[in-house]
Amino acid sequence: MGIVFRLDRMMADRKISLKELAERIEITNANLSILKTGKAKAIRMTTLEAICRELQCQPGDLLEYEEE
Amino acid sequence: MKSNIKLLENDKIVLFNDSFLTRFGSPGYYGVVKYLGDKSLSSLIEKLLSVFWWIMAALMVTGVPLEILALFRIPGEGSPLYAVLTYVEIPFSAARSSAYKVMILLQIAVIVPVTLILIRKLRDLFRNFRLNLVFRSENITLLGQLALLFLLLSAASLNILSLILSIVLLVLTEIFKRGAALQEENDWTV
Repeated sequence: MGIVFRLDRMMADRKISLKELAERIEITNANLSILKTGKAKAIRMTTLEAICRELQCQPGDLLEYEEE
Repeated sequence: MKSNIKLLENDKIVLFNDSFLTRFGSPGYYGVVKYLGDKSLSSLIEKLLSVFWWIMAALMVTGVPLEILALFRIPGEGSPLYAVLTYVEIPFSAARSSAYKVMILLQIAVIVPVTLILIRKLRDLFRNFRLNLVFRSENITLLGQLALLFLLLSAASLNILSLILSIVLLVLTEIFKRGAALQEENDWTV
């Protein structure tokens, strides 16, 4: 698995929809969906910063390492 | 219509007139040609290659039978065939050795299809450039195939330029492979 992006869990905790979060951090629904489903190959610092700001969390809350 | 060549304030020479720039695009600066996308140099080259392919196909359909005919028959002076062969400057090779004839036939068998396929592949490559698809796997395949076709052409026609072009295309293929990897990474970066 490697690095897993736990965006779905954080969004459920904060009770925020994908559409709303996408609007708040000013990225498209499609791109946020790529992040949520784990298809993304990389994440920009600015995107991570915006997500952390809106979800009131730390990068470590979003990123997790799982053994292959 | 403005002049084709004029000097701008910053002393840059404009080589294209206004109608050319309207058609093929210049994003805010005279003399800068757009290379990718619609109304670009790629678009123009794609169209030229399409026309060129039909011209080459027509030439080969008529020229190859004449060339083969000239290999095996010496037409009588004054005959229509003699007049045609002389007009299109095809040498009378019927008196040559069998080995020479086989070599010419082999050359025709390789050069004719390879040239037509090569033009098609080049056109496909420039069509992708027109569609702004640059660092894509299909272009890597096309460049690899073009390198191979130029290699075949150089072997068949003993042309050193085709060989050099083939090597350059092989290097370009590798560059495009790296470019495609970077493009993919960029596409999946959020």
